[in-house]
Amino acid sequence: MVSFFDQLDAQLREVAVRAPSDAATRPPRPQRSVSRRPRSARRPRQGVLAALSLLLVTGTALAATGLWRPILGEPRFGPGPTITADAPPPAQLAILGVLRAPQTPADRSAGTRAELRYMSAAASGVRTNYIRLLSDHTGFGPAVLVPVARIDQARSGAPPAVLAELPRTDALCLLVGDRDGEGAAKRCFTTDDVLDGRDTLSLGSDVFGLVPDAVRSVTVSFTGGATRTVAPADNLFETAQGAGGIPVSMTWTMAAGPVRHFTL
Amino acid sequence: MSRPHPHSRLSDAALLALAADGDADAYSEFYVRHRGLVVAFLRQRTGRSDVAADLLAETFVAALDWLRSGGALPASPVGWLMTIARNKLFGSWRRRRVEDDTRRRLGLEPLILTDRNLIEIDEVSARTDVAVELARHLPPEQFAALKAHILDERSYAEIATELETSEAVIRKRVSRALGVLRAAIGGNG
Repeated sequence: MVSFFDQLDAQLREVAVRAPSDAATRPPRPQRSVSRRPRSARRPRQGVLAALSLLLVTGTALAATGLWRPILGEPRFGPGPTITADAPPPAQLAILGVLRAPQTPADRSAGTRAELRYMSAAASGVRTNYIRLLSDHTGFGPAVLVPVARIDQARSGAPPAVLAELPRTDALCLLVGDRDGEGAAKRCFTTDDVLDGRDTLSLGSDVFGLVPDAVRSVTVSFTGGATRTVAPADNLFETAQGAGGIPVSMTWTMAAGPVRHFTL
Repeated sequence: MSRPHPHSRLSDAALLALAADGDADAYSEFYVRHRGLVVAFLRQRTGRSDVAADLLAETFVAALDWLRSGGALPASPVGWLMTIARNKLFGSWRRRRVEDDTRRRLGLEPLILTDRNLIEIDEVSARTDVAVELARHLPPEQFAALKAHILDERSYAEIATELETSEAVIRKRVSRALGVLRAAIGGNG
């Protein structure tokens, strides 16, 4: 016997994947039509003035598509973080090309939204139009960048050691989903953290981090002497940990040639 | 974005948000989670399994249509779903025919409803206590409000007896048809 419930399930699935224009006569939500230039066309760092001019262009484009209102946090646990239409500060736009590029449909995709469940209610003023999907092909789940205006440390529930490192304003939160979708690694950084290489997180055996535009390659050294060198993409790098080792230092090779060395 | 999502662990609100952007698995999970409640409510109100099946289909298709066409995400998914079901029921009573406008507009193939399917619907309805299910899914104040609109209304059963199922559902009396055929040819099976 073919179950009536199963017949209906199949029909609903068919309707669900139809293009919205086929599904109804009402217009689609405008924010779904956001598109962006390929990120490979990232602009080089040219200082704050250049960033500010780009901000004006980006801001205009986003204003036309409205403020994105995804579900933030887990609704079962009460109200989630608040959102804001504000842009990140000029300094963050200046160092992270991924924030200067317009938001794309991929940035608002199901993969991104799944990670946004892990945002804490301690965050307020999530800059949703600047949320970026940095990578959907990490060794784990999607890597997502979430700029946040403020973090209420009292509500964070973080232990004192973590609390001391938690930014209070203009945080850049990096979330990387676990493979099974049942969790995510998350850390929030200040602009200075990104500039000074204090912005890495580990998930399983991999190390992830944000890097400014000017970084051409990242070399991570592990205990035992193993090193891994990778090229960042969309301001994100990911490298697998050496066998049995833990990351001890990181070196950035800048596009202009010089290197910067950091102890992890 | 090919990583599978643990839909069964997502909240209703999260499922609907995903469904709004074309995630068929998310809407399927929402449907499976609540079809018993909706069909039990409709079966209870109409007294007819075939009408309940028809309205169940129209309810879930209409809800999905709303999401896919840019409608606002509901604050209370179950309350929203039950309100759609109730409106479809009320609209059918008012128009003296089972509503199937959404399915017609979307050009959906008719669903097949056999006698066994009717038994299936009766069984699902019999083991679903609508009030208990609603209370389980809704906060107390929402339950009280919805109860006044949905559970305390009079039955439409007497009216539903006048309704025929829509053209979007084909009722196939397979077992009865076979019985008639057997009788006609005088066979034993």
